[in-house]
Amino acid sequence: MVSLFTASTNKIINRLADKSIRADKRRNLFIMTTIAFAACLIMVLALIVYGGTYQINQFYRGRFQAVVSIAEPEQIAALAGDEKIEQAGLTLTMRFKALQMGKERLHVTYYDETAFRMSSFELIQGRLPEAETEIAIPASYLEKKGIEAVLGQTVSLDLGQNVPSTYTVCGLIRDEGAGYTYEVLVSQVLLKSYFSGVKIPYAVMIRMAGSEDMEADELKQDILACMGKYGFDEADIRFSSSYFITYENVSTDRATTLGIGILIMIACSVVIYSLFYISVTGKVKEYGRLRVVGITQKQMKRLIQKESRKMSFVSIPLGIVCGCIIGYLILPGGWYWPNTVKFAVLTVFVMVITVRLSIRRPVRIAMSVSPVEAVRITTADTVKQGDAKKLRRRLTPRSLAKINFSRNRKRTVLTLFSLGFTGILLMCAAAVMQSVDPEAMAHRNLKEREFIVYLSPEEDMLTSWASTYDRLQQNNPLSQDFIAKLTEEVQLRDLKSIRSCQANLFFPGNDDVDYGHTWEIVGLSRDYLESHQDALLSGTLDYDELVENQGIIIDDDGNMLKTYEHYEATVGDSVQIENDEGKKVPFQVMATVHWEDRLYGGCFIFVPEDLLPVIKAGTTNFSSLLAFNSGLEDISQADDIVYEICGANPDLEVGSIVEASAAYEHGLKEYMRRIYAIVVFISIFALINLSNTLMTGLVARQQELGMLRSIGLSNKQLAEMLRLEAFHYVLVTMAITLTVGTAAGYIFCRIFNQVGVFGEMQYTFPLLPVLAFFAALAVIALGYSVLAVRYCEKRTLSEYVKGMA
Amino acid sequence: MHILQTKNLKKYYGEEPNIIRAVDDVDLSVNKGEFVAIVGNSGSGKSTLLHMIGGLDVPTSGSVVVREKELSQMKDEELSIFRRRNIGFVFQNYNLVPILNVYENIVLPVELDGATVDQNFMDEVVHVLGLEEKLKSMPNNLSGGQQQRVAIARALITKPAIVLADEPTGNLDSKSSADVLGLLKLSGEKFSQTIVMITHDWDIAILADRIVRLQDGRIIG
Ligand SMILES: Nc1ncnc2c1ncn2[C@@H]1O[C@H](COP(=O)(O)OP(=O)(O)OP(=O)(O)O)[C@@H](O)[C@H]1O
Ligand SMILES: [Mg+2]
Repeated sequence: MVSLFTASTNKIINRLADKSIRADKRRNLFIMTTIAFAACLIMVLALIVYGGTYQINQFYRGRFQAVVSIAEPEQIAALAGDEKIEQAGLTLTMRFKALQMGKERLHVTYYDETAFRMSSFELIQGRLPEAETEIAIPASYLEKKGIEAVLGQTVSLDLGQNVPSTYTVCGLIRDEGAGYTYEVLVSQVLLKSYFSGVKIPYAVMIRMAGSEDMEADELKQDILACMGKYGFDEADIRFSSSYFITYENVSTDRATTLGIGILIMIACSVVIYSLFYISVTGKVKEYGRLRVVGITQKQMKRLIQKESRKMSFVSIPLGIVCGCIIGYLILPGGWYWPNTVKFAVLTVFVMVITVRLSIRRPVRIAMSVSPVEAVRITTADTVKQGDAKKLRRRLTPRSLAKINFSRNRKRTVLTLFSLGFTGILLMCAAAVMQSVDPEAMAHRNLKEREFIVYLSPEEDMLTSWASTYDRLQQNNPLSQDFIAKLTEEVQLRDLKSIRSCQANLFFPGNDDVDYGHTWEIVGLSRDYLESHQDALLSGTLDYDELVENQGIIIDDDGNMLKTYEHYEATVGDSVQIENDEGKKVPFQVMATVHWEDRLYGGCFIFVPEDLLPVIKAGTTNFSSLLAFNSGLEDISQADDIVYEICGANPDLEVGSIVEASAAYEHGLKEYMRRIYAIVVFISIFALINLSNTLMTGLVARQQELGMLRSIGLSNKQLAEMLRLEAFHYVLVTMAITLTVGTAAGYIFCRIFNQVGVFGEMQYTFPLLPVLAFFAALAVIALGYSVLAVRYCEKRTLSEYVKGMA
Repeated sequence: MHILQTKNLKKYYGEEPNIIRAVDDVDLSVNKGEFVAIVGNSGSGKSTLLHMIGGLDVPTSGSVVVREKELSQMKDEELSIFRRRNIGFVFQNYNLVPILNVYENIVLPVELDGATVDQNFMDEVVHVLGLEEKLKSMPNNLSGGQQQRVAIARALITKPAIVLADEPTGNLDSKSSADVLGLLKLSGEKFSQTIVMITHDWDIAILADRIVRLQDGRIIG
């Protein structure tokens, strides 16, 4: 009975909703734009972020996971035939170290077709080399050398004895933009002649079948087990670090997306809420009439919900389609149908909820409209008694504007809220962005110096990292001579250095596995320990005691050990360190600390320096990093010289303030663009809100404006009144932005400073962004007054008085 | 039998000392089929009384009983339904829904009730009120008198037991006024409707079965 009744009245409610939507075109346009816009934003956001992740996953989906050294190229057949192995490809590297050509470094490698596919390179033109004199090379390298990048170009390269010195370019490789390092692909024939007389270091790049959903550790074990069957042991296998690193860092992106999504939802809700609120309060009279003829509260609720549903029905899909198009245009490579469908469903869900929540209060207001409202003269725009009591007010366009501005407090507050929200958001983003100092960030990563030089042995695919490193340290290029040379050439000063070695560690619980992860072990001096006692969290920092008991000190403030070794540092634990003869030496955890020192950022395990030789008996000079300033006036000149000196040695890596600040600045600009894009989107919501408030005010007051006109308010005065009214919003928004916004921006900078993501920050007032924002507001206010006056002029006085817009 | 009865009905606005006693202790009983006219000075509380009788407004104290139902006992939902089934309103300021055309405005109460329109009755009402030509017009394209006739049609279409009218002829010329009143009386007799009408026009008031005079919120005879 009840449902029958509902069904039959549904028709009339439906019709009323339709009529109301059609009658209130302007409001609906605003609401639908807002909903569509928000849906579009959420969709684009999801598509881009997840598209990016998808793209990375796709990229790594086909990449190799490990490299296994083999004796004979024929062995690959057995591996390729194994059904646990998805792909196996042959590769051959020319040198253990890269070929140094001035500032540039070349990796000379042979890949067969499969291995090439599994590596991260891509041919943009041509093919892989087959003949001895053919090479494939990045176009950017050729351009840098002043050679035109075309196929068939001849290039002279000194690749050593036994091999030709001029080559024909048969392929161009896409440059990954990794600084000064370039990949040169050569033929197998060439490498065979290169290695003539010695054992050829063939290797196989492999990728396991069904590895997409495996945990990193599980996958590693899987590879070890599978290779074990063929007689390869751990020493023959090297895991791809890039593969295993990208495996893990997807979660931060998700958190950001969620945050921004929520921000968009809030901004959108405020606008939808205020649009409905304004519309409902503006229609109190109409609702009152419906109540007089007997519409029930439930029917009223259904009416408004229906209206909103009808609008959502059109605008959400519209927004999603637009979002898909934009998302696709921005990131075509990230397009993946199942994802898109999932996001579309999610967006519909989120938007429906948002709309539902936003109209809750307006619905309640409409429900509570009393039928008497139909017969009252004034409705929504009640002037507060207090104001009206001031009988003797001077009535000028200015004062009229002010009365109008404050006559509907709630509406004004809502509009100002979304404008102010935008202003504050803008101030926060802009203040942080403007206060970041790329040079300070660079300094931070360069151990507070202008230059760092550190050991970076060329990884070959066959030797373990620790032994490669040992070999280099045994003949350490960071010698006194080297320091003397730098002092002479660039007036080296403020020198800080790290003494450390690389070794495999076995933490408690992991001591029975066959391989440990390689960690850097830093040696600390007696002085250092004595002067940094306050960093101690537990245990002891007594130098002699540490030496006596083979003690190690752990700083796991960044939870690196926890994450990678599942080990929580506890004083008294025994940690085994593999020495340079492959033996495990027991050490004891004797202290946990947290150094504030930037020098040791990125280092977690420490020993008194006298214990370093216990781990690496064959090493005498443990220097691993030098950080220093230059006394030269011209920093870029010093930069050139340092690069030149260190460039001669392929085992040294240089970081310089010149290069690093440029890189940070580039990164920062990228970041800034994105943040501003979000602020702009959110400000669009605010501006929609402002326009709606102004327009509603105008339309709702037709009769009143007509009355004012009829008693002699000139068009010019009317224009002035409307303009002033709009500028009230601008002024108050400015005030909020300048006060609350500035304060919030300042606080944000302080917080960021403490967290330290962007390095040292000096609060800078973001003048330009603020001016731009104010200008945008002023343009809207001005535009409104021009439009409004035109609109008023077009109407005759009698139309006004009838008040039927 | 009283179809409508008020007891100690009061409506006060504001607080002492500025209290306005818009309706003050009104006891009014109306019989079924009776045509009552309420007259009084401007501000004497006529509209306020009528609104309370119709359940549009809530009394400060006292009770309104319509068809043996105490209005204040009803929940809003119930009251809305009761109102659209039993009471028809006609106001001086027409109160048409601007987004609906004339036809839709007239049938709105019926449709809100999920009922079907009695087409013969509809035709009759429309004919008597001379609205045949205007059914598709929007309210803002009608003259004041035409709008009023639509409002009356809307009040009559549900064949309510009681018709409450607040200056229904206030904006009409004398010819139209007479027509409207004739129609009200006619339908009142035909469907044994009770009519309570506010007017300041004595020519019209004397057509009523009974005249109630209001002054400062009180009945004075
Ligand atoms: N919402 C209100 N708030 C305060 N006072 C009110 C309100 N509505 C009516 N009044 C007051 O109540 C009194 C009665 O008003 P009412 O509208 O009932 O008069 P009326 O007899 O219908 O007058 P008229 O013939 O001019 O329509 C008036 O003094 C009026 O000022
Ligand atoms: Mg009145």
